[in-house]
Order: sequence, then structure tokens, then C-alpha cells
Amino acid sequence: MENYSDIETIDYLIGRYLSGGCSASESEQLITWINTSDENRRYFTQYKFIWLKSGVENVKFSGNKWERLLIRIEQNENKSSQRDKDKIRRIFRLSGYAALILLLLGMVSLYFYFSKSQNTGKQLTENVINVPYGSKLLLTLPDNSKVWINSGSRLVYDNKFGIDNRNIRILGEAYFDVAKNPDLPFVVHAGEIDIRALGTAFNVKAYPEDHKVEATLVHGSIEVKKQGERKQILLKPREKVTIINSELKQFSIEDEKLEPLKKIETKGVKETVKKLKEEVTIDKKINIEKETAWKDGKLIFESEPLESLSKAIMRKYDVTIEFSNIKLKNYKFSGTFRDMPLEQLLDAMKFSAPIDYEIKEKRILIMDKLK
Amino acid sequence: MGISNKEIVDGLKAGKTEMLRDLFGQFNGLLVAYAKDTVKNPLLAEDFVQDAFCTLWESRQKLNPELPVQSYLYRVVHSRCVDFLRKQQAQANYSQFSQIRFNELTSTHQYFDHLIISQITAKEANDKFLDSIRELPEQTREIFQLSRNSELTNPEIAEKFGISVKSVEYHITKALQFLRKAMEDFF
Repeated sequence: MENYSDIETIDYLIGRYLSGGCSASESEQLITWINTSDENRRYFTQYKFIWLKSGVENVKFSGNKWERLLIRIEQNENKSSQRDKDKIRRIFRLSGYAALILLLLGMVSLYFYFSKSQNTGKQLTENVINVPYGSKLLLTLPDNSKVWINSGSRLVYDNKFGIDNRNIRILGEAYFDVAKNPDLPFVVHAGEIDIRALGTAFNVKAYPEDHKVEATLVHGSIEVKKQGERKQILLKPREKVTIINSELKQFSIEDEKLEPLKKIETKGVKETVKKLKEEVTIDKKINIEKETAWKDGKLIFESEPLESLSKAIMRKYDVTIEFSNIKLKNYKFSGTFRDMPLEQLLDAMKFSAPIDYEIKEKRILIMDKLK
Repeated sequence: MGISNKEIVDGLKAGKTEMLRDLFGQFNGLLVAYAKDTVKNPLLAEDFVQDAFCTLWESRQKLNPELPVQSYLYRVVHSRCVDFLRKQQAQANYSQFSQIRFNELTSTHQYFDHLIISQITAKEANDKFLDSIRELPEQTREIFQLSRNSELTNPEIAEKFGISVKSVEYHITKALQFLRKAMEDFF
């Protein structure tokens, strides 16, 4: 403790330094003192240890954080094993009826699995197309219909598709351009909602974390109805039907490879949502370009709250977004983004909205712009 | 702690997540506090620490049973913090304080590593620490805990208690002095 005759003085300086009360020059003075001898170094470090230890949250064990760590470890492990498994799956009968075009980076897994129908015991092969976050896919179905599948979506159809039926189950978002076939109706199942089409083009958005199903008709006509109900809604071009609080169950597939799609947290909200009443609204004169912009890699927002806007970004770029201030979630933003790197997009937003951001790998923190 | 480092390493190698969970319970808080104090960003701090646990788990087969696992964790967090400060200095938002924190971090690193390894993180030390906090004079304890747990700044605390900033700093220093003395046997 040389140079300081009074131990109280250095303790006081340390106390002030640790609690943020020192000016830059005082801090520098302290660092110089620390570096004067090993003894000083040890002395200060003990103080720092005490300071940090007393700042540890009193909660004995934070289960939440532990769970998050487990998820992270799992995701990392999946990433490395995914590559091997995908190779094997690709060798499956891709040939013949499904032509794939990979639009963006990222891996899309297409695979087949067998599920035994409990009643008949008959085997049914289903094709599962999984499009992860950060990817997008254009697929030609066996009946020559085209489907653009958005990030974080899953599409399932069986091996009788195009022969006995044209049924598709979807979780997430897709744009369908349906080939004409008056004998076989084309039916998209989104949770409990059925969308029936003949020859037409429409967009379906049914992400489980949104708790709603949206169908927008581009041309032709579609019927929208709830399973088991007779009442149906007939949509005209440029109309959009939104069914809020519609239940969207994850498909019951026992393949844990499908897990990553649940990444956007739905926990906690689910229970209350179940009890909420379904609300059906129809919007006319919809801006079709905006609704289907995603398939061309564009994001269009018209006074969209940052919260829902961030979901679109999370899916497109495979990142997670958090807000430092809850109020920011409601800030309404308008703008059009063509395919561009994430940072460029965030910089553009930062320019016109009162926000700032920080990126750490795949996590983004949106915060108030500093004055 | 009855369990040796070799047992922990063997457990991790055998894929026992309980072992990782115990380590997480014991060191997550302290490591987050360390990173938070350095980068002044709670989100980033937690990320660094989660990263460290992930890396530990992923490289478990390569662990050296001679090196205490907590030291491994600490070193990962430390190097993330140092990288962060270095980057910050290279950027436009260079601040004198980040330079100071950087200097402080590098000069205390070795001894901090030693503390993390020592029995100061063991259960007895922990109990002693919590008991000692309870022994602090009431006002000193209140002010100290407010500073450490509610993340209020010294002027904010001063206003709350209707005292001067100087007195707040005095109470904080008193508390630190008392606690350091109480823990002397463990250092």
C-alpha cells in the first residue's frame, strides 16, 4: 500500500471506483496504484471479488437461464448433426414429382416418414417439407401447382397428393399458385381452418406464435371455413380474411428434428389464448404486393408495430430480437426493404425510427436511440 | 465441496448434464456479475457466460482434469470481455473508461483466476459471506444492497436516503471493508 499512508484513502478510492463514482483521472490513478505491486493487485482484486459476489442475484438457481442454456446446446448439436442427417434424407425419392429450387442460403430438409393410421393399420407416406428460419423455398407440387414457402414454415402432404387428393397441411406462411383441376379441390389446412381452392393464387399465413390464420386471395376464388362447421366465407380477389385466436397445433410428428420451428416463444400465452373467442375479419382492397412481398425477398411494412415487424425479421434472417424497452414494441414503422444484409436493414430503420441496436451473433437488442 | 475436479471432468465426459447444471448453479451468477461489470450490458454479459458453458460442454472430451473447470469457464468469459473492450476501443465509441476497464481487467486477471479456483467459491465461504452481510450495520447494509441489487447509482441512492453522495460512498466502502475482512481466511 505504498504511496498511500492512509489505508482508508485507498479503500475509499476502491469503493468509489467499483460503485462508479470515480472520474477518469481518479480511475487512472487507482489503476496505476494497482499495478505498483502484486500486493496491491491482490488487495484490489479481493475487493472486486467481494463487490461482484455481493451483486450476484439472490435467487439460488435460475431455472429459466439454465433452460436457455440447454436449448442453446441442443441447437448447436443439431447444427452439426443436421448436416449428416440431411445428406441421408436427400437420397430419398426426391425424383419424379417434386422439383426443388433453393432460393436462399440455409438448409431445407425434405423427408418422408411413415405413420400408421390407428384405425386401419394402413401405411401412409407423408412428405414433410421443413423450411428453417433464414430460408425460403419454391416448390412444384405433383399436380403442377407452385408453392413458395416462407422461413420457419412446415408443409405436409401425403403420397396420394395429386392422385386421390390435393390436401396440404401448413404451419407458417406460403403462397400457392394452384393448377386448375376441377375434379380435385385443392385444400390447405391451417390448424382448424380449411382453405379450399380450384384454380387460383393465394397466400396463407399461419404461424403458431401469431395465434391467427390469414388468407389473402390474389386471383380466382377460395372458400375459407372452420373444420366441422358448415358456414364458409367466400373470398374475392384482393380480400383478406383473418381469423384471430385460431388454434394452431404443431403437427404431431415424433421427429425431434422438427423442433427448431418452435423457436419463437409461444409459452405462457398459449393457455390464455385457448379461452379467447375467435374473431373473424375480412379486409377488402388489400395491397397484394405487400402481402406477398416475402416471396420476392422483400419486406414491406405499413405502420407496422415494431413487435410484429421484428417477427418477420426474425424469420427471414434467423435471428432473435429483444427490446430493451417495452414501449418500443408499439412504435409504428413504415418502409420497404429489398433483399439486403440484416445490418443494412437495421441501419435503415435506425435512420427513421427512434431506435438503436446491438448485434451479438444471432441476437439483436433494440433500444432507445441515445440523445 | 466433496467432489473433486477430476470427478467433475469425468462426469462431463460421460455426458452428465447434472454436472453441468451444478456448475451453472454455482458459477453462473458470479460470472455474469463479472462480465456485466466489464461490458456494462446485461444482455451481452449473459451471452458471454452462456457461451462459456456451451463451449465447456462442447469441448468436454478435451478437458484437462488438472485445470479446474470453473477456471476454464472464467477464462472464456474473461477473454470475451477483453475482446469486447478491445473492439470498443477500435471503434468510434472509444471511451476513456473502456480503456481503464481494459487495464484493470488485464492486471487483475491472474489473481481473479486464482480466487475463482480457490475455495472462496465453496459452500462454507458462501455461507460465511451471507452471514457477514447480515452482520453489517443496518443503514450500511441497506445502502450497500440497494447499490448491488437494484443497480441504483450513488446519486440516486443519496436522493432516496436524503444524504450526500459522499456518505453513500462512505457506506459502500465500509461494507466492502467489513466483508473483505470477514472473508480474509478464504482469500
